Amino acid sequence: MIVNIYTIFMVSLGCLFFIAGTLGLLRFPDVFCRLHALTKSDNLGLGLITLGLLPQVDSVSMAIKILLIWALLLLTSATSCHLVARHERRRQLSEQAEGLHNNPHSEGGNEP
Amino acid sequence: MFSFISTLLLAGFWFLLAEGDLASLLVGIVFIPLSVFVSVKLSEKANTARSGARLQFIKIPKFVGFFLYQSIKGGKDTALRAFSLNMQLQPEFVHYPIKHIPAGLPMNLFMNVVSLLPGSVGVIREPNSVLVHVLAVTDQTLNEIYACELIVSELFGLDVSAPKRNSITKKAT
Repeated sequence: MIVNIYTIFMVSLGCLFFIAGTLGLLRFPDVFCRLHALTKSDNLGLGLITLGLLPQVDSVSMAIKILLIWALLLLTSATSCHLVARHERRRQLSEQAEGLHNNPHSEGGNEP
Repeated sequence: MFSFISTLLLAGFWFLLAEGDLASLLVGIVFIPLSVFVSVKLSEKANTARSGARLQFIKIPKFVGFFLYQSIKGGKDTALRAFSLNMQLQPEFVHYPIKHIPAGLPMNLFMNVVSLLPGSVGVIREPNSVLVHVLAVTDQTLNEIYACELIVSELFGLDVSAPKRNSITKKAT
């Protein structure tokens, strides 16, 4: 009974953090801010759900499996966050460089 | 030797995830060798960048404690911002000069852990610094990134008493 209440509490709290992550994804202004919401809130949500589910397993191998899934997801989330952020930053820089490159043309007027 | 250990480990992972089901080997026969190949290729690359950093197993509990504490703090901070009406965002890029960590595994770990600190995401690695995106710049944010660097250095047994290369942290564009 107490174990079930603990599971319900932890999983609900985890879901709340997932909702916060999704809300951040929708509300935050740019790619980088959205990554903040996705990496941090979702990682914590996943951790809480994992901790909530652990007392419900019936074998040690299942518990190790759940912990392994948590670890793998942490790793993929951190790596993909870094990749998306790096790609976006490079895109911004190349856009800025293009803007600088095109500016002299726009100042000099259109085709002669 | 490395490929033998990683084959054993990855095959073990596979059976753990597939709960020992032999029929799963129909798929595993393709993916286990593929992941061994990727891990060997990536480790070759990491070996060239290695600079005497070795994992200190005794420091792992301290690192896990720091990691969990920062995860909770970071998750709570972002969730509160997402739910609040006024999100109080002042997003900015910050150049954080690396003081102790060499390239390779320690640097990769540092970049990933920085993304878990409240309000900061590691964006791109530069020769002597990392570009970090922060939701709102405070002195505390920079101190936390430094604390993170210290913890990762400790985990790899790096010398942190070396003079700081450059302690100025400046804003990017």
